Amino acid sequence: MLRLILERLVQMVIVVFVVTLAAFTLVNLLSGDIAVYLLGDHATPEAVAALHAQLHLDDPIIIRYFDWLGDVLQGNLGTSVVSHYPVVKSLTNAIPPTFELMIGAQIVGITLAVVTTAAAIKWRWTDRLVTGVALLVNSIPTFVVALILIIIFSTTLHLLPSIGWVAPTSAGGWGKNIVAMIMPSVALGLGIFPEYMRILRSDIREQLDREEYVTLAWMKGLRPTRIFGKHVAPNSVGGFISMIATTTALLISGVVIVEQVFAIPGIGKMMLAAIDSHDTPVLLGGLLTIVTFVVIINLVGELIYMRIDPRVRATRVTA
Amino acid sequence: MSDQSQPIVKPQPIVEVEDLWVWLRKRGREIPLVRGLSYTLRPAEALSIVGESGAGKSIGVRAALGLLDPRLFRVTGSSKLVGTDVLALTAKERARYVPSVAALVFQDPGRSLNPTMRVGDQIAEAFLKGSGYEPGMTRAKAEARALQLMKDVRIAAAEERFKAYPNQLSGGMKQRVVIAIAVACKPQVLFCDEPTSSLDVTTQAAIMDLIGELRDQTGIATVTITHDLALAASRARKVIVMYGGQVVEALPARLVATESAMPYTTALIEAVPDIDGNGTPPTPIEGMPPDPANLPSGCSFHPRCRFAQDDCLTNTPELRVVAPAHELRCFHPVKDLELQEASR
Amino acid sequence: MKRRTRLTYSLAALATTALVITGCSSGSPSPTPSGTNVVLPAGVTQNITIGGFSLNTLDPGAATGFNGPGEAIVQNVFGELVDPPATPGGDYVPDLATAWKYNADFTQLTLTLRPNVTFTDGTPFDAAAVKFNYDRYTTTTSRVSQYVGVIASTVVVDPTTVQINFTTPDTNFLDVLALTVGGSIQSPTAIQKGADKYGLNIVGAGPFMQSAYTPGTQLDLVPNPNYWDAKSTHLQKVTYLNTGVDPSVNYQQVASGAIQVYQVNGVNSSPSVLTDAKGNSGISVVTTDDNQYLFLPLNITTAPFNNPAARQALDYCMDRPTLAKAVTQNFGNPAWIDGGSSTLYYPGGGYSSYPSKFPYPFDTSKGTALVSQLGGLSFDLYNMGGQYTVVANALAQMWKANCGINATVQTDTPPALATRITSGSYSAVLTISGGLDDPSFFRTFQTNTPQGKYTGGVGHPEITGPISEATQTNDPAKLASLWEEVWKQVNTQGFTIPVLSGPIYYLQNTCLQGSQYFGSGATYRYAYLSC
Ligand SMILES: Nc1ncnc2c1ncn2[C@@H]1O[C@H](COP(=O)(O)OP(=O)(O)OP(=O)(O)O)[C@@H](O)[C@H]1O
Ligand SMILES: [Mg+2]
Repeated sequence: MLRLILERLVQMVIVVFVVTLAAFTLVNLLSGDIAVYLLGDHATPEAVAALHAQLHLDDPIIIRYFDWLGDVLQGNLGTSVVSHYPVVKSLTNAIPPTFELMIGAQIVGITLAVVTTAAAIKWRWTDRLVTGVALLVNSIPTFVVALILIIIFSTTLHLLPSIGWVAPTSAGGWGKNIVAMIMPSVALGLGIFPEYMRILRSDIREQLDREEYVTLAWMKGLRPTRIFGKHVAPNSVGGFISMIATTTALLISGVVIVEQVFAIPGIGKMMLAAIDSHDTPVLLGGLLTIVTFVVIINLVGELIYMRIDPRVRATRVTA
Repeated sequence: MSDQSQPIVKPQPIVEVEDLWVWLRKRGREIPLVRGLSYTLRPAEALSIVGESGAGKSIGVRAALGLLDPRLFRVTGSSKLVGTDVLALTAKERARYVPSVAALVFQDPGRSLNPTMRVGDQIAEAFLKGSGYEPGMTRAKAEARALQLMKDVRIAAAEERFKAYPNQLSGGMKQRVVIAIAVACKPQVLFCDEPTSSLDVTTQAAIMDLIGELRDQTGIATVTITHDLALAASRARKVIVMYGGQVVEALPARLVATESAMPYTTALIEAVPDIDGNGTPPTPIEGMPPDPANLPSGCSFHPRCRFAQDDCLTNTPELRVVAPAHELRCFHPVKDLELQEASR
Repeated sequence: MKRRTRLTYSLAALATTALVITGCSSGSPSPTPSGTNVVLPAGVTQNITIGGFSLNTLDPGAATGFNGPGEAIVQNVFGELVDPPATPGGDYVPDLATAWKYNADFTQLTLTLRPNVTFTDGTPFDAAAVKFNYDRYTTTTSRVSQYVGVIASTVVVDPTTVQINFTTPDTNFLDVLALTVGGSIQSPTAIQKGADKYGLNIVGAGPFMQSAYTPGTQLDLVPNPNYWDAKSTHLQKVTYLNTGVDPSVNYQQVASGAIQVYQVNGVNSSPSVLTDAKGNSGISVVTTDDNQYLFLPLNITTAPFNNPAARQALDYCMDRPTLAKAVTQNFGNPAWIDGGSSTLYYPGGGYSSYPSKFPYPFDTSKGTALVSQLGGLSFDLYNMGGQYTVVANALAQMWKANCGINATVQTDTPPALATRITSGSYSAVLTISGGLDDPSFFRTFQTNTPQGKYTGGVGHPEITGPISEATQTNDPAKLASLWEEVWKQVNTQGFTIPVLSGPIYYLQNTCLQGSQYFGSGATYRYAYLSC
């Protein structure tokens, strides 16, 4: 177990290194002369040169990358090129909304997947219904789902707020915070539920049809609920959890869209703004956070999987 | 069917499978996997079902236990277990009844145990929540019984193993656990679907011995599926040979080496080294088992049969009694048993 | 005081800032309300949220500062030295400056400041503070410098009197004070204390002050209790929120009441959203003057557009009214000059009569002949910031279908495009400018910026001459004839190709009253919720 964690930590460092280096290179190669852009068209050549020197724009990219990396290793993510706002502060502002949104989306996605899977297993017609619905939902872009939700629940019914973040420390407290997160979570959760359901459904189907421990459980004379709860579900949970972990990475693109639509001041929005204003330190800070988060989530997913499923534990530990 | 060696007053049969048919529903078609399977079994009797892969042995057993998903398979005929036709029961009734009279041991012990549950709990569960439940059952009692069962099936260091997960046990040990679970509810018949084919030779023998002992001690009837005709002949009283979903020969085990007359059975004997003890090298059966979706005309075995003649292509042979307790589905048997019978 | 005088500050709209609309507009669509005699409804919380905000710094004077719509936002905090006329053609209105006076040749402007005013950090708002700000604006190379580049020196006469000296005559400087960040007077103490982080915490002497700010995300303003006209300010909180750039989402946010205001641009907004908004009784659509314009600066130093025939072909092959209808469903208009239909001194007797005098009217046979004479015409059409894809594609399609011109639509990141423009490695860029009815604000063709050297009238005295003359007069008749000449020359040469123009549309909650609109933004000093 410890060895696995160490192994993964090494992998994580490599992944973070490669991704940030790639991003750093791309951002700097593709965006032209940031100094000219930042200063505007009335900048004198001297001013441009001064900003070049200040941002070390004339150094080779690799040197700038290692400068940046060196600062990061000392816990310094730098400040925004435009506002001089510390990147760490931007991140501490942006992480809670994004984190909450992702948790909310997972709750929605998992709940929907479990409910629809249960329906799909139970009867044939519900199976057809929910797989059809899942296919439909899957084919609607998250942006459109979000917009439809706003039109129905905010504009028409006036039930839910369409601006999606209220700090729990503000006057409304957690109550308002949660109410405001309902629609964004649903918009994002709807995007992941079809995949969750597809995997969960086929996994359970597979077990029910093929796994002999299920037959053996039946032959013991157990009730269906007991068979499902003790012999089927636990064997799906591990795979399901590791899938949730993998989905987290895929969720990021949806997060950007949902944060944009519901005006949630999260990481996605922060990075989009940073891309707009070519604010490299902010962009890289956001990216570093996301990559680290994804790698950690995957590790945690794997560890949970191991805890639940002794088979994996055995093979991984001896490996 | 009559067997002179049985006493006149026979005990009630435990298993009476009668004209069992199984069809696979596939894209609007129905493919016959088992065609008219029948057999009867009395207490402490041992039956072996032999045949190549795909012959319908497992499907036949599962159908007899009412285990097949009606959305995928259509089953007709009857399967009386201790007098009750399980195929006539509702799904709910069947789920209560079948486990109380029958048990099943699978081919791959690696897949028959729930990987996420400790083996002791998997046995004890049968007493706590399953057909082994009796009024006054407690977790402690159930665990004590489970432990005793583990000892009964000769699991060494049973106390330790009780808390192990399946993946921590060897294949043979897992199969012992499965057997323990199978006999926990005191069934009257034990179906074993290739219980030893994934085990090494010594373990195979040990497991077969264990099953034999259980039969002797408890009077349980056993149905054992195997590919191995030699094994079948040595461990059972009766042997049924299946081919393409049908019984092609049924005979007492002790007569397999000498009296089997269906070319398929004799081919199976030749395919196994040393059953007749004359040291001839094994000859594998040429060709492939038939595809149930696309069965040959006439006798299903004719494309692979060395003795096939024209009528085998056009006419379908019936199962007929050729000797006491000996049935055959063949126009041109290897030995002319009826002649022997007549001359006797 | 004449309503309009001249301003001779170039705006290199084609360069990087062009996607941010620059400048400001003349009056408001409805008369500026006097904030004093409003009766506020009981039980209505006077808080509003404005969507679409995305300022990454609040200090326009920083090197990485801004202009465009952000100007109106920070004017809520900085206030204005003078206010624009309440009605078109009227007089400028005293604000933080109570009086002003030009010298005879328009080279000096003397301002009298309102006495006893303090910034919200408690430091005095006085002549020294004004001087500090103009010294800062003229020495840094921020985007503000385009408005104040004409200043030679600023002199403190006494604590309430300050003298601004110009390098050349300038009749437009009151517009700068009234409508641009060039009129933003910020606390010198706060600027010095804040250093490079000052843009996170701005301090002014205007009607509101900053209460919270997350760059690019949200800005909260609360009333300044010591504002000189505090009794006229009714809103208790003004929030600028980043609600993204999608018009249909923002429309829903206004419709659901989540935000009260969202502004869209007539030349490239989604027409369906505007149609929906007009049909929604809970939303009022406020239309400003038509002074945003989409145009096509051409690089006339290299092929193909160093050849006048190529420039003319673009005009001949372009059916502007059809384009306006197809792309904007007539929420925008055809543009015939580099300005909107509300532009002052519109040539040829006004917007409606000019099209017939346009030198190269839509004529596919003439256009086709020119193209074949050129042996074909192919070029890359850069779509600034990727924002005008619909128009760019429609243009390319139109040119192709009408005359076989091959325009390949390209999108570049703004910095990359800035680099491209600076180095002259482009042919045509589709971009936007505008916000003010006065054409003097947008003399891109006369620009002295490094980027301007590849376009327009640089080195063409027949264009720069009359413009320079126009900076020294405020006689409307003389201005009209000078601009007639400018447009005639510009359109004949075809240095820039006008495409579409349009107003700004404010989609806002019908309860919101008293906003003051500028060409590219609105301020809320007098605003209130009536329901
Ligand atoms: N779940 C299923 N779905 C579809 N076809 C099946 C299924 N189970 C079995 N079959 C088919 O039914 C036929 C008989 O299968 P069965 O498992 O009974 O064979 P078997 O005699 O037990 O063979 P083996 O020795 O390999 O276990 C085969 O052709 C097989 O492909
Ligand atoms: Mg089988």
